[in-house]
Amino acid sequence: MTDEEKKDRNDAPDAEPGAKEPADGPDQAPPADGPDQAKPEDAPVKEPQAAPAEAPAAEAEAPKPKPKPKPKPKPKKKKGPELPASIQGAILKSSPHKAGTNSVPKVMYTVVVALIPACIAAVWFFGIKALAIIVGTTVLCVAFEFGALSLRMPATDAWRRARDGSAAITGILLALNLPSSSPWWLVVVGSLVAIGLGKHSFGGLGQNPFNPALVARVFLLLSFPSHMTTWDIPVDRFFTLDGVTGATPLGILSTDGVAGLQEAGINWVQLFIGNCGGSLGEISVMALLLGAAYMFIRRVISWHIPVSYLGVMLIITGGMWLYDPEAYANPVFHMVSGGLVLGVFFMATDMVTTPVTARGMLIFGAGCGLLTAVIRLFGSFPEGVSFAILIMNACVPLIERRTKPRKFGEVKVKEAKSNG
Amino acid sequence: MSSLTFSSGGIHPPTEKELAPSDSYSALPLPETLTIPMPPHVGAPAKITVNKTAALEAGDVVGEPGGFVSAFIHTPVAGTVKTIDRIVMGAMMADAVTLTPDKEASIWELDRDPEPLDLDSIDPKEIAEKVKAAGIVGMGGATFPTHVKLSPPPDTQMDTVIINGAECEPYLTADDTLMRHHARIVVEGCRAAMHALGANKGYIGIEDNKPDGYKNVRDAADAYANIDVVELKAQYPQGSEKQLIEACTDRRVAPGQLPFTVGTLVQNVATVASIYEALVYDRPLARRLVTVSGRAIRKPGNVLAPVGASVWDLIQHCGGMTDEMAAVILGGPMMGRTTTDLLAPITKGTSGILLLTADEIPLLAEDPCLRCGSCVTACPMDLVPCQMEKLVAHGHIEEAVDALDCVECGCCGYICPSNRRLVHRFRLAKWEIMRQRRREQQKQKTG
Repeated sequence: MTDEEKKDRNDAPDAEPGAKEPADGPDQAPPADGPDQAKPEDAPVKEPQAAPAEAPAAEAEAPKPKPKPKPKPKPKKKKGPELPASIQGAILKSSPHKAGTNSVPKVMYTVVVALIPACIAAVWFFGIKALAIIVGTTVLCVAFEFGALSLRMPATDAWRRARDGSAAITGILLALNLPSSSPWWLVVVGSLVAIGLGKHSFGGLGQNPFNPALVARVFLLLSFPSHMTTWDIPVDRFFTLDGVTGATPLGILSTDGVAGLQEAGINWVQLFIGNCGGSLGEISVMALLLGAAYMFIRRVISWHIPVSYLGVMLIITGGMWLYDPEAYANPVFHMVSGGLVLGVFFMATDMVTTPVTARGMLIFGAGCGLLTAVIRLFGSFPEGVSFAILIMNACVPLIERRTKPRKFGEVKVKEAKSNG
Repeated sequence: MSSLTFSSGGIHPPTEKELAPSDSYSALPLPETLTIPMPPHVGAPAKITVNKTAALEAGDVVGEPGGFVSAFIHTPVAGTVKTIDRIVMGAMMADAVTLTPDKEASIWELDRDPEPLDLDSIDPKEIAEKVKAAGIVGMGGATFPTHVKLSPPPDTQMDTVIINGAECEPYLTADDTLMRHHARIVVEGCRAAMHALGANKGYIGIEDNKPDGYKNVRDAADAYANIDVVELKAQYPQGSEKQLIEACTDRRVAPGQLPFTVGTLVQNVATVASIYEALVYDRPLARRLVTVSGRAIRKPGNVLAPVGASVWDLIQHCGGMTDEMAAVILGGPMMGRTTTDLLAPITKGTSGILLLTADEIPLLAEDPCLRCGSCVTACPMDLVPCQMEKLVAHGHIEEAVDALDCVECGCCGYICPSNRRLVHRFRLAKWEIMRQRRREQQKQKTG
C-alpha cells in the first residue's frame, strides 16, 4: 500500500517535466509536409527517432499471449514520418483523464472554516485562555501528524500531508471538547493521544475506525476526570483569567434532577446562545449551527446522520418527558445542552469513521441517538455523546456490510424468487 | 418537457465541446499509405485474405471474421497492397495490410440527401446479412460487431431500438457533427435497425447540449410516428448503454445481462448511419468521423477519415501539435486510452484523437481514501467503489467481484477528492477474476 502510494507519487512529478521537454527543442517538430519523408529510400537508414517507446517491450511480450505455435512475422521497424520528440515524454495512464476540482485539503478546510464560529464563541465567552487552548491543540496536532507521517515517508511528502487540514480539524475539535480550565499538559497529552493513538496507530488518515478527537476526549475523561469536569462559568468579556467554576447544565440535571435545573435558572435560550458552563465547544449552539449550515451548503456533510441522530434523540427524550415531566427534562433542553450539537454535526458526520452509504448513515445516526439518550437518561455519566459516537464508530464495518446498495438493475432476491 | 436522464449517480464534467465545434467537418486528404489493422479489441481478430501486391477496388474485403464475435475488414479506397505485417497498436499488436491508394482514389462522402428506405421491399434477415458483409461494428468505441447484436437469441422479443446520440464524453463532437449534417441517414438507419429486429418503437437519445443536432434529427424523424427523438439531460455517462436504456424507456437491465433481455437494442448514431449505407449503397464501414481536439492541436475539428490513416495523418491535417502537448488520447478523456504510438492507424472505433496540455490532464498525487462517499453517490451502477478499491489495493481481488459490474465510466475517479486510481484497480480486478474463472473452467474440462 505504502509502496504503491510512493510509486504513484514518484510517477506524477516525473511525467510533467518530461512532457514539457519539447519547449526546449521545438525545432525538432517536423514541417507540415512530414509524410513526404516516408519515402522508402531514406527510411531504412535509421529508425525514426520517435519510434514508439514501447515497441521493443511489446515485441518481447508479444509471443507470450499467443498460444499458437505459428510464427508471426515480427513487427518491422516502422517506416514513417518523423514525429516530434515530445511524444516520448507524453503521459501514459489509465482513464479517467479528467479530475473534478475536489481535493482532501478542500474538504478538510471547509470543515475548519465551519468550526471558526464555534471557536470565536469560545473565545468570546471564555477569554484568552480558550484561544490558547485552541491554538495549542491545533499546532500540536499538526506537529504530531507531521512527526508520525515522517516516520514512514520523506519529509516533503509528510509535510504536504500534515497540512491537508485533517490534523487541524482534530486539533480544533479536541480543543472544543476541553474545559477552559485545562492545564497545559492536558492539551499536550490530548493532542498526542488524538493523533498518535486515535489516528496513526491505525494507519493515519482514512484508516482510523474511531474519531481521533473523541478518542482523546474519552481518554482524558477517564484518566483525569477532575480536570476534565472543572468548568468555568463563562463571562462574555475578554481577558478574564480567574473565573468562577460550576457544574454544567447536564451535570446539574444528573445530580439534582429537573428541579435543580430550575433552581439554577437555566433555560434553553441561554443554552442556545452559550451563556452556560461547559467545555469550549459545548456552549454556543448558535455558533455551531452556523458552521453546520456552511458544511451543508458546501456539501461536506449530508442530512442523513444529523436527521436520524436528532430524530431518535427527540423521540426518546420526548417520550420520557411526556411520561414524567417531573423526572425527565424536556427534549428541547436535551437538544441544546451538552455536546450534542457539536457531536451531531461535527463528529458523528466525520466521513472517515461513518458509513459511506445513505442507508448506513441513517442507521448510524439512529444508533448514536439511541445510545446518547440512554446514557443521558439512565447512565451514571451526565453526557453520552462521545461514548455513543465511539460505540457506533465500532459498528460501522458491520453496518456497511448490511447496507450495501442494490446494484443497478438488481432485483430483490425475495421478489425474484416469488416471480420465478 | 424537461430532459430525461438516468436515476442514480452521474457527474457533470466541463464539456469542452466548443473546442471542436460541430458546425462543419473536413475530409482527410488521402495519405500516401493506409495501414488497415485487423483490430484485436473485441472478440477474435480478423484474418487477412489478400496477398501482397494485390490490386484492390474500394470496398474490397481485406480481412474476414476470425470467429463469431468478429467482423469483416474492407479497404476504404482503391489501391495496391504494399506490405502485410504485424504492427504495434498501443499496448497490443495486430496484423495489418498496408496499401498504397491509387492516385485518383478518394473516400466516399457522406450522403446529405438520402432516399427514404422502402421497408416493405427489404427482408429483415437481409439487413443482418448485409450488416455482417459490410463489417459494421459499434462505432461508439467498443467495436462490438453489429450483426451479432442484430441476431438476438431466437426466443427473445425485441420491441425497442435506441439510437445513442448522447455523446456524453467531453471534447467529442463527431456524433453531433453527423447528426447535425446528416440527420436523415441516422433516422433511416434507425428505421433499418428497427425493421431488422421487428421492433415497433425507436428512440434517438440526444443530450440537451446539442440543440442543432437535436433539432435536425427531430425534423428528419418527423415523418415517422414510431421514432421518438428524446432530449436527454447533459450528464455523464448518459451514453452508457444501460443508463441510456433507463433514461429513454425506464427499463433496467439486470447486472451481468445484455440489453436484449429487456427487448432493447442500443446502437450508436454513426453505426446506424453505416447500416443505411450498407443497405442502400452496399458500402462497407471503412471510414468515419473523428474528432481531433484538445488545446495542444492547432486547428481542432471533425475529420472524415478512412480506417487505416494514422493518428499522425489526422494530427497533421489539423495543423499539427503545439509544444504544450502532454498526452495523446484515443477516444474521450473519461474512457479513452493514452498513446504514444502516433503511427498506429485509426480503427472503426476511434471516435476522437485528443491532444491535451498538461493543464488538461492533471497528474495528481494519490491521497488516502477519506470514505467521503462521493464515489458511492456518483456511481451510475450503484456500486460502492471505495470499498472495492480497498479490496483490490490490499490484494483481496477475488472479493471484489462487484468490479465485474463496473462499466469503467470513470465517474468515481473523477469525483474522488483523494485522486484514487479507482477505475484502474477495477480493470485489474476484472482481468484477474476473468482469468481465474477461465482457468477454473479449463480445469473442469480437462479434469
